[in-house]
Formats: sequence, structure tokens, C-alpha cells
Amino acid sequence: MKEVLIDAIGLRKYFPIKGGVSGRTMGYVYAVDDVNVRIYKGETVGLVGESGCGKTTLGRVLLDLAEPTAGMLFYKPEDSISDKVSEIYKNLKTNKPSELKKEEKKIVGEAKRADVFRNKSRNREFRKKVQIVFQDPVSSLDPRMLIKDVIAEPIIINGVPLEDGKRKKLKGDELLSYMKEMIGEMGLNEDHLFRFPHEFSGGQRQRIAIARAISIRPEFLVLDEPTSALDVSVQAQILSLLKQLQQKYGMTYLFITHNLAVIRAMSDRVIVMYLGKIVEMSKTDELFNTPIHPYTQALLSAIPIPDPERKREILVLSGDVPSPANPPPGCRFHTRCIFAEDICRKEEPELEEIKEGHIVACHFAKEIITGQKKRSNNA
Amino acid sequence: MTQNVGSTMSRAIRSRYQSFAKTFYFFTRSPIATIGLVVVVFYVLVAIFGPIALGGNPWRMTQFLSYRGQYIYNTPQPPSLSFPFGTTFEGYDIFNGVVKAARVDIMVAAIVVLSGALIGTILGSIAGYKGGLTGDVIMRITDIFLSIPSLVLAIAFLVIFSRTLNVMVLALIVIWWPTYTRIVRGQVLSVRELKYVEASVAAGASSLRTIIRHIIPNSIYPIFVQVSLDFGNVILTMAALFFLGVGFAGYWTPEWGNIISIATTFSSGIPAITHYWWTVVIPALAILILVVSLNLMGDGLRDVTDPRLRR
Repeated sequence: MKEVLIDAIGLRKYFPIKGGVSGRTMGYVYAVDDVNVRIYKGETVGLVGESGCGKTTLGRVLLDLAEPTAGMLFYKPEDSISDKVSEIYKNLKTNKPSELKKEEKKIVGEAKRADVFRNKSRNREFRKKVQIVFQDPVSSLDPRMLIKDVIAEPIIINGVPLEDGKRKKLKGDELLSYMKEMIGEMGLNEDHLFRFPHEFSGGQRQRIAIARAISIRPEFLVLDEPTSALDVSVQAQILSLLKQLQQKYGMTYLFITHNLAVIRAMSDRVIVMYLGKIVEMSKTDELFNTPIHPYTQALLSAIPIPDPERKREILVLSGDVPSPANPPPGCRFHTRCIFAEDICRKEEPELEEIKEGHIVACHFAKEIITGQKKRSNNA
Repeated sequence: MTQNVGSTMSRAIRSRYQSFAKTFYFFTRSPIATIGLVVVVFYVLVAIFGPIALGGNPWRMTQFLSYRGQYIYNTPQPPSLSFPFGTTFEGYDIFNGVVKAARVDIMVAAIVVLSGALIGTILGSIAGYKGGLTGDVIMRITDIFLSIPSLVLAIAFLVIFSRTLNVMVLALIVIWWPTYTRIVRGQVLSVRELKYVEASVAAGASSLRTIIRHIIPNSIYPIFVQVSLDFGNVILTMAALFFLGVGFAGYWTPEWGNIISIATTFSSGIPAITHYWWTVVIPALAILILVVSLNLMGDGLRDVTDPRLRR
């Protein structure tokens, strides 16, 4: 059994839409809506989805950079407390705590005390173990700081872990030599420590951002589209650097991107999101070979194949993503789904394990696998 | 920029000095900014040593009411060897007044502008970074102060309390801080959305650390320009208050605006002033040269403090 590193239950993040003179709340953008994610130690989880589907928000909530509207987050949960809680929440349809039984309430209360969002000392511990690399290497480095100060900041705040498990705050020469070693590992040289961010190219800046993130030896690293602002040759360099670093330091990655080729190259497991919800979750090879959810199928069919002879069916999604402020009832994908039927418009499908390790939220998942499902007329 | 490196105190000081020397070198590469700096330094030196060299009461202009038994100095005398800048009405020596006024004006303007900028930076960055109720309360208070015409507010202060130097400084600070608060808040609002701020939060930095290390250094540079512009504005406002007759003390006060106001008060209309041009032009030039130099220096300062413009 693999060790669970991050376990998120019922994560929701709603952004209020303020309007009018008094600034009252007119509605909410449902950026992340009831997401359950479990990430195991040492793996790379890819997170794909269209723009605006809540990928980045999920990444930020998982690092407690954005305050969630609801939900719990466990870091290395003990005694499978998260199992019990997710079991309880699964049975609880309406998400009303008043319907819980007494012993269930007790378990939930206990879980809340262990939750990273609510437990301050755990939160502090959590902070030292997680880091993030942003998409835009231009705005992610403070333009008025020398690179050495940029990289030193997390080290000064958190210290670096020693072999005996304690953390040590480095100072002066020790800090400088640590940073020199670090920057060498990133493929930059020592002189670069004494320069400003604007003196670097995009790829170099991203290396610096990665250096800052891994300077405190995090266990969990969220990579929020780390390569999408870079050109292709630099992308490959950064990806191989990330792979090396993962092997060396045993980090766990959450790789957020919309580049499917990158996902395929990097990740062990893939999560597909659509309008704030997880629609499919599977091992990478499995997902790329046999995508089940119609949305995933459409996504994968959009990957260009460099072979003009090969013909295949391309599923082009019609229309835009519906507004996350007003998600369609039932299955959120039904407005663009080629298989949509009446049940899809009324009932929201639940995530079900269709095959081993392959979880899909679709009413017709089984029919789609066997190929029995025909296109509906109105699509 | 040199914090956290340097195992010993002396090393820290040396590296701080090096960084200052470097900044100064970049500053002197711009000839216009250098001219501004030289003139401002000259003014400051005059302000410090001028009144000492002249002797007498530094808070009072020397008045020559009678000269060899004749009351000729009641009318302005043109610049001559004994009075390099001439005299103005009531027999005040303009050279004496302009030099002594440098101390009063620069002191008041510096205190007002710097405390205004300090208050504005603190309140503005809190209002911008925290937002929410705290931010709203701070900004509404700022708006209340901004909504009252500044000159009226200053006059009210001077009349209600007392017409002294301290109240004048206080009144001017009360006028000036809201502008800075608004500027800083606007900057902070845009800076706080940048990813390096989030990266600092992700690194576990406290709000205070994030504000001091990232938000303020990146949102303060319009303040440099504003300070150098306002320095002149404070002097002009002070002149306006003296002109309106609510300056502190009396006509003997060495203050550039006051020297001009003596000429406008005692002369019989515009023809008299054009005739005795030096009574207005010389103190006005004193103001003008300082204000222009401060602006040039402010521009240069902004450029060297932004590393992106430096290399």
C-alpha cells in the first residue's frame, strides 16, 4: 500500500460575484466544486482541463494559498481518518451536518482537528513541505530582488531539513554556499545569484523559480503550467530537469497543464477536470489508450498525429464552456456531449470506479466502453 | 538588497556601502539628475550654514528701517554691493531673507512631505494589501480629508489652534497624507496580484514580511516622484497661506512666499511690482530653481531605484 501524502475531501472554492452599489453578493463562480483528490507519495499526478475549469484554483486550494469555501485537507493522514470521513461524506447526499449520526459527528469533528486548513500547527508544518512553481516566470520573481535574495527567502523562513529530520535555518556563508550548490544543480552558474530577474531569459527564470520552490526540499510540489510560457526546446529542458529533481529528492508532483503531450510524458496518473469537477481519473497509459468520458475523448482526439495517412474520427466540441457562475443542471458536460440524453440533464453522475483504478463520472460509462452507446440525436 | 548575507557586522556594512556606491554611480551617469542633486545639495548647505554665516536671529529677516537718518529703505532698493539682492518694502534685506528662508522652507517642506509619505505608505499598503473592512475604513477616512479643500483645511487649523510654526507643519501634513495613501494603495492593489507575492505567501512569509519585502519596494517608486513634486507644492502652499495673511508670526518671517507677499501687500498695484521687479522675481527664482532641481533629482532617483532601468 502506497503512503497517502495529500488527501482532500469535498473541496469547494466559490468566488463571490459582487455587484451593485452596496457590493452585495449576486452569485458565485463555482471554480472548484466538491473535489476529492488523493495523492500518493512519490507519484506525479497530471491535472488537465480547459481554461477556466478550475485547475489552477484547485492547485492553490491544495496548497492553502486560497481559502476554500468548504472541505478538508489532510497531509499524511494517520489511522485512515480520511477514509472514514470520505465514507461518511459519500453516504451523505445533501452535505448537511445535521443529518449525521452521533458517532459520525465525532469522527468528523476529530478529522477537522487534524485538517490542515483548521489546525494551525499542522498548517505551519504543511507550509514547510509544499511549494509551488507558477506559470509565468516573468511575474513570479520579484524584479527588485537579487536572485540570491529570491532563493533565500523560503530558506530563511522555513530552514532546510537536515538528515535527522530537524530543520536548520542557514545564515551568511552557509546560506550562500547552499544556494551556490543549488543553482549549479539547476544548470545556472554562481554569478547568476548576483543578478536581477530581468537579466534572464524565460527558461532561466523558470529554473530560478524551481530553485526557489525546491530550496526547502518540499515533499509536494504543485507545478502550475510551468512550461506553457516557454518555447518548445526550453520546455523539454525544464521537464527533464523536473524529472531529475523528482528522482533525486523523492518529491511528489501535481502537474497542472493543458498540454496533453506534457501530461503523457510526465505523469503517472491523470485527473481530468471540467467546470470545477473531476470527470475522469486514471493511470496515464490507461487514460490515453481507453478514454471513457466523452469530454476526455474529445480532449484526446484534439492531439495532432504527425501522420497524414492516418485517418481518425475527430470529436470537435461545439459551443463554449458554460459559465462556471451558472453551471448547467445534471451532468455539467451535457450541453456539449455527443451522447447526452434526458438523464444527463437531470441527474448529476457520480464518480464510479469502472475499471480498476479508472474512475469516471458518466451515466453511460459502461456502454461507452463496450461501444454500445450511440450518439444521441440532438447532438 | 544585501540583507541576510554577511557573517559579520563589518561585512554587512561594507556590502551595504558597496551597494550604495553602485547606486550613486548609476545616478551620476545621468547629467540632468546630477545637476538637480548638486543644486539641491547647495540649497541644503545654504539652509544649514547660511543663517550661521549671516549671524543674527535666524527666524527674523534683517530690517533696515533707517539709514544714516533717512527712511529711504521703506521703498525697495535695487540690488547693489551692500544689498546683493536689493531690499523690499519696509526695508527688509532680500539676500538676508532668502538665505534664512532656505532653512525654514526646506525644513518645513521636508518634514511635511516625508511624514506625509510615511503615513501614506503605511496606511496605503495596509489598505491595499488587507482590503476588506480595514481597507474600506482607511480609504473612507482618506476620502473625507481629500474632500475638504486643502487650503481651507489648513486655514482652519491655523486659525483654530494658533498661528505658529508647529501648527503650520501639522496643518500641511494633514493636507498631504491622503494623496500618498491613495497613490500607494493603487500601486499595492496591482502589485499584490503578482505571482511573486503569492510565492512569498507560499514560502510561509507573514503579511508583515510580504508587505515590507515585496509590496512596498515594488509600489513605492511613484512616491519618489510625488515627493519631489510635492516638495515644491508645500513651499507654494506655504507661500499662499502667508499671502492670505494666515502665516505664522509676522512680516519679518524669513519665508520665500512671505517675501513675495510683502511686495504684493505693500506695493500699490502691478505697476509698482513691475518697477520693483527684484522684490518678487528673486524669491520666486529661489523657489523655482529648488523645485525644478528637486524634480530632476526625483526622476533620477526613480530610475536608479528600479533595477530594470539601471542596466
